[in-house]
Amino acid sequence: MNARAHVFELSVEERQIEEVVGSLFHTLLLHRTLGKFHYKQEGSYSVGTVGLVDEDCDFIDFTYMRVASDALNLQVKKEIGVFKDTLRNMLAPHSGQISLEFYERKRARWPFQAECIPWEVWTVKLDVLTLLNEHDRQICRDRLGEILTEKVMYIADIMNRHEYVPKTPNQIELDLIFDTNFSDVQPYLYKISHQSTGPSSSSVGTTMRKFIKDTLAL
Amino acid sequence: MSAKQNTQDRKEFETFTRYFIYKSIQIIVQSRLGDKIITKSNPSATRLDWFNLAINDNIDVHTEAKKIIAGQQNLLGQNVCTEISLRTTEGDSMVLELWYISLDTNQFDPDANINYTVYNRMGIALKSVFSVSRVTPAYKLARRQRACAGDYVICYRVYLGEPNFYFLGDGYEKSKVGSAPSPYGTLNVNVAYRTKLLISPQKTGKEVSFVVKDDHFKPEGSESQASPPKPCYVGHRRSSTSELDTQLSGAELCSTSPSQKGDKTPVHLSKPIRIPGDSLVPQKEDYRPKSAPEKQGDFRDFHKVGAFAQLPNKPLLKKEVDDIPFLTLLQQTYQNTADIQSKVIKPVSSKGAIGMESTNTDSTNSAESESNKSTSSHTSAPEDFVMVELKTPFYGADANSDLGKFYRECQTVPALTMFEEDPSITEALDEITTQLEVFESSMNEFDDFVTSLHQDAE
Repeated sequence: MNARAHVFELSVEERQIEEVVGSLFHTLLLHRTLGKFHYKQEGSYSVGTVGLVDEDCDFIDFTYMRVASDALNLQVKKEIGVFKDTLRNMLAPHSGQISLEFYERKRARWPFQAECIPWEVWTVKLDVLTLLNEHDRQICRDRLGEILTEKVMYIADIMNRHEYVPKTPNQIELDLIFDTNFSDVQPYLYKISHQSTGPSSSSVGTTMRKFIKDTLAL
Repeated sequence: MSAKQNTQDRKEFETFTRYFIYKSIQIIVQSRLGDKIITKSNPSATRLDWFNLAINDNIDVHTEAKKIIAGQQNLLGQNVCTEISLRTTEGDSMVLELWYISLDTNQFDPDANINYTVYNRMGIALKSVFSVSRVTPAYKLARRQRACAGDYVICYRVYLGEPNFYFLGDGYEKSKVGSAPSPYGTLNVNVAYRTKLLISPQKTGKEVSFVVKDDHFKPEGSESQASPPKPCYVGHRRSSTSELDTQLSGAELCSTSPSQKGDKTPVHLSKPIRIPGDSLVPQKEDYRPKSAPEKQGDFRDFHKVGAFAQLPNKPLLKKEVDDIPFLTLLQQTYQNTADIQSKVIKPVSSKGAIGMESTNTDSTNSAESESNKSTSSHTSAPEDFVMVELKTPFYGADANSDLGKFYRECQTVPALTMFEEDPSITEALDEITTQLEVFESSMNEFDDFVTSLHQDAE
């Protein structure tokens, strides 16, 4: 089965990395998280309630809504933090990508190992900009808010196409589809992975083009 | 058996749809209260929350939504529109966005299970409403309305019928927010929002009075039956969500019967809502059943005026003193004075009112003023005036740069004391009369003077 793949490409400042990735991933997770399941008897279950929190950004003029779960928030934050540190430690110019992958598992059958089959992958590719003055920073900040608005609307559009998501399983197989480690909510199984890429001439060119285009657009 | 199942499914679909509409309106209006929303996840499902989402109901909004939905003969036979608007203390109003929920019966998913698939799809659509409601420009304005206390208020209005995009101004954007296909059609939530947020005298609520639609007041659940815009946060203040939880929990929340007590009480459509600031009271005239605009505004009121150009005479002043000859000369003086004052004050106050107008707008403002100065000197043909955004040297997007600061200081320069003592027309006329009398009394002196000049010349 082929996983659906979506890619976002953005140019950001280093300090904006966490908020940009966080706003997109949390919007995705909000749509891909259900209330906690409680099985009463085989075939019958009740679903808990998902709480919601408005999250304001400091380095972008932007607010997004996330699932009210400290544990989930912490886990996502940790992964994004590692990605940010990796980018920071690279030699300039920095660029990299981070992916949020939803997958389902197949039970291990000897002699094979347990298999993870992704069904939806969202990738955020980032070019890290170094801006020299406050004026450019302000332009970047405003522009980024607009871009994130577009991305959130795109996410809403995709989510409402109601394409394939794994079927709700019975109680025994629940952990093959959902992450049951959280006490308050139940997201679909997900994995965050990242990689940093070295600077390439094309990516530098794209960044500059994008930056100049943005400047002229204002 | 199948027919019975179908009827039951249909009933369930209608119940879910009804609550989907209620919850959508709650999410939209609550996002415009200006507060951050924080609700807790509840893993133990002892209390049933609709669509498994923790959405606290605001009782005012719920009552309003219920009232509107009850007016429908067929559920979603007409769109359910939620209009979000901004009203300034000066009485200007501007529609910011329109959220509309519709049922497209041409697109359906015959295999979707109502209880599971459709219900979950509705949940996802509501999550999208949550996400998208945070990214439109109105959200930022709503969040800043407390900071700019009293400058403006965000209002909402729920009505049935076609969304009126005209009020969103030029260049508005439309976006599909959520959809839930079902065997009975696809439930859609859409938003259309204003992109030009600058309030100018041409773009205020006055403009609204010129829009006349023949079928504007259709008998069947059109906008005329809708209530006037209500401020979002007043209702919030009046009833805390926790209060409502107790009132709407359990059986009542799940009740689908439209024959609730509240529904039967007659609705006073033109009843003003008490909100802070007199000027914020909604105007009655918008809702009277007549097809002509209530206010026959003079078209000249909406003309753009150059910085030093003379204004056309206002009919009000003309009426008062029409029988006095040459009064127009005086009138222009007074009007110009008044205009200068209002021009000085207005941009500042409206900028303050908008609050969120970022640096982009500031630069546009300055550009507009600059170009006004340089190009427009006639008021007769404002349509010919094309505003060219000037990228002035040394002026960055940063509003707090020196030039920006200097410009604002110039704009807000205090009025001259001579303008503070603004004599009335009668006083001015009296003064002229006295002067004439004085001149007449010394007429002989003038005659002698003229004669002496003649003699000198000879």
